[in-house]
Amino acid sequence: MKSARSTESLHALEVPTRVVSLLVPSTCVAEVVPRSTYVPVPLSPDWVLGVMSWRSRPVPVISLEPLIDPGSVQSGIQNSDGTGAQRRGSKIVIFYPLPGRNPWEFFGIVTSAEPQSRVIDSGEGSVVAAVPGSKIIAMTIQVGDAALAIPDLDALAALLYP
Amino acid sequence: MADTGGYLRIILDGTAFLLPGNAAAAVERRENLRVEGGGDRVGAWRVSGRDRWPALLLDRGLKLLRAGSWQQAVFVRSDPQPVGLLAASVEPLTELDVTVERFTSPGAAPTARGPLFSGAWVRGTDIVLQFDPDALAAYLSQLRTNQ
Repeated sequence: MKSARSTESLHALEVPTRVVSLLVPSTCVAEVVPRSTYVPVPLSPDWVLGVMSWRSRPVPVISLEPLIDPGSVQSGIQNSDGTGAQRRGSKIVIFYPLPGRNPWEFFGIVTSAEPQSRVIDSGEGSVVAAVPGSKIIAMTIQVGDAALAIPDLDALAALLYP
Repeated sequence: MADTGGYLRIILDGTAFLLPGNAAAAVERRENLRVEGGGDRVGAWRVSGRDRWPALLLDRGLKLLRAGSWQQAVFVRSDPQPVGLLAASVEPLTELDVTVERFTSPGAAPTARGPLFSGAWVRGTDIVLQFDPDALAAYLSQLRTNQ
């Protein structure tokens, strides 16, 4: 007999940073690419690591750590060879433009390790807490052994495009 | 010179930037400019009759330099007068040479006229940022007056 209770699943990507692992819907993510060189953008905030070429587009690459925890160490500092590959598995997650933004405004986030696909069933995660002091984390949920932070995309858009 | 199209490739401190050609009021060689010492922020002047257009020397991070090597200047249209950027070289490129994709710099803009860059020319992994003319003019004017 089929259960009356339906289970909905969320396909998501776990995006590790040095501060916390983010959980973002897979539909927000265009591609996960290897770390590559990026060109500095003068007069940008220090969390803007530069601009990289992705599918012949200029895509800004950012480090989320200073936005989540201003005292943290960034993932994206480049090595002397310009590749920034300072940790095995570190990638750049290319995000689609945030809601309401221009269609060319893709952006990349540097991860501290290999991102992982996750399927979260409804009711699987339990809210742990809001993250005090963080402008871009809406809440943290516990999924199995992992505490995963859910970003507030509106707040992120306000920071990226004030 | 008053270019009506294409782009100017400007080399600052070893780094290339683009400026839409129609944003330039003039491009001058060093020998046509007046260099005056005295600690002013202005690196050189374009003097024509009663008009004196200032030009500033910047590094690749677009911070003001007091001294450095330059050979040309590009003057950006601005009100009340054009303001210039001293460069190692200024090379005209046609629209056939360059494909500029739109680009938005994240974070707070350095001027009230918005982000300093509005596009970029991507060739493989090489990227040349394109100045937004209004924002560049505002930034240069801001640098000049922030004594």
